Amino acid sequence: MKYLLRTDWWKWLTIALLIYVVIGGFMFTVPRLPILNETIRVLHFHVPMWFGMLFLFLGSVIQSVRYLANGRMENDIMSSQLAEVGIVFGVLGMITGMFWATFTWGEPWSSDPKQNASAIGLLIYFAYFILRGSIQDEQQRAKIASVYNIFAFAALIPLLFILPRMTDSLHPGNGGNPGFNAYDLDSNLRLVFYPAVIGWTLLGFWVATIKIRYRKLKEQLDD
Amino acid sequence: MIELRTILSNLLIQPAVFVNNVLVQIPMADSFRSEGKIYVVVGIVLILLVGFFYYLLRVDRKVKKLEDEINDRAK
Repeated sequence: MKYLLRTDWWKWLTIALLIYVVIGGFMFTVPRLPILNETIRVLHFHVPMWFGMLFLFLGSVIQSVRYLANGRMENDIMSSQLAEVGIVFGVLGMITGMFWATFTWGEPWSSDPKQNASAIGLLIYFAYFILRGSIQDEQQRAKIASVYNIFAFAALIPLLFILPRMTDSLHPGNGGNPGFNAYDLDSNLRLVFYPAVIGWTLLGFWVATIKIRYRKLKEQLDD
Repeated sequence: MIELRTILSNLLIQPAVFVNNVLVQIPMADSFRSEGKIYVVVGIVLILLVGFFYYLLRVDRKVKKLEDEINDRAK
C-alpha cells in the first residue's frame, strides 16, 4: 500500500488496461452459449467488480492486522478507506448482477444462493461502517473496527466461494452449472478477463490512495 | 453428490450446447458487430472512460498540490 501511495506508473497501467478491456470486451469473439448469448461479455465488467472488492477487502484486512500489531493511526486510515472503496465495488457488482439477471434468469432477484450470500456479505461490511460511526474515541474505534474487519473478511470467503458451490446455483460457474468453467473460459475470454481483473482492481486502489491521502491531510490539519 | 450432479449436468447440457452450436444457431449479435455501428458504442464508452480518467488524474494532482502545500507549511 505504501508503494502505491508513493508511485504513479501503475495509474497509467490502469488506464491502458481498462481501455484495452473495453475494446477487447466488446469486439473480440466470445463462446456461443445458450441463455448467456452476448451477455457473456459482462464477464469483463461485472465479475471484476467482485474480484476488485475482494482485493480491496484483503488490503483492508492486512492494514487492520498491521494496526493491531503496531497501533499506528495511519494503518487504520488505510484500512477504513480500502474497505469503503471495496463496498462501492461490491454494490456496483450487485447492481450490475441484478440487471444482468433480469434478462437471463427472468427476474432481478431469484434468491439464488450466490445472490443471497453476496447480500449477506455486503451487509456484514455495512455493519463495519455503522460500527465505526458509532464509536467516538479514535483509538477505541480503530481497535474494535480492526478486529471486526478480520471477522468480516473471514466470513466473506465462505459466503462467496464455498457455500454457493455446495448447493445448486443459477450463477454461471456454480453448482455444476455451465458457465465459466474449464470448458467455457476459453483463451479468448481469458485474454480480456485477466487484464480486466487487474485493471478494475487497480482502479479501486487508485481511488483508495486518493481517499487515504485526503484523510491523512485532514488528520494533519486537525492536529 | 456434487460430482454426480456435475457429471449429469455435463452429460445433459454439453451435448445440448453442441447440438445448439451445430444445428440451431445460438443468437448472437453477429450482424450488429459487422455492420451495426458497434464501433460507435465502443467509441462512446471509451470517451466516457477517458473523461473519468482525466477527472481522476486531476483530483489526484489537486491532492498532491495540497500535500505539498501543507508539508511546506509544516517545515
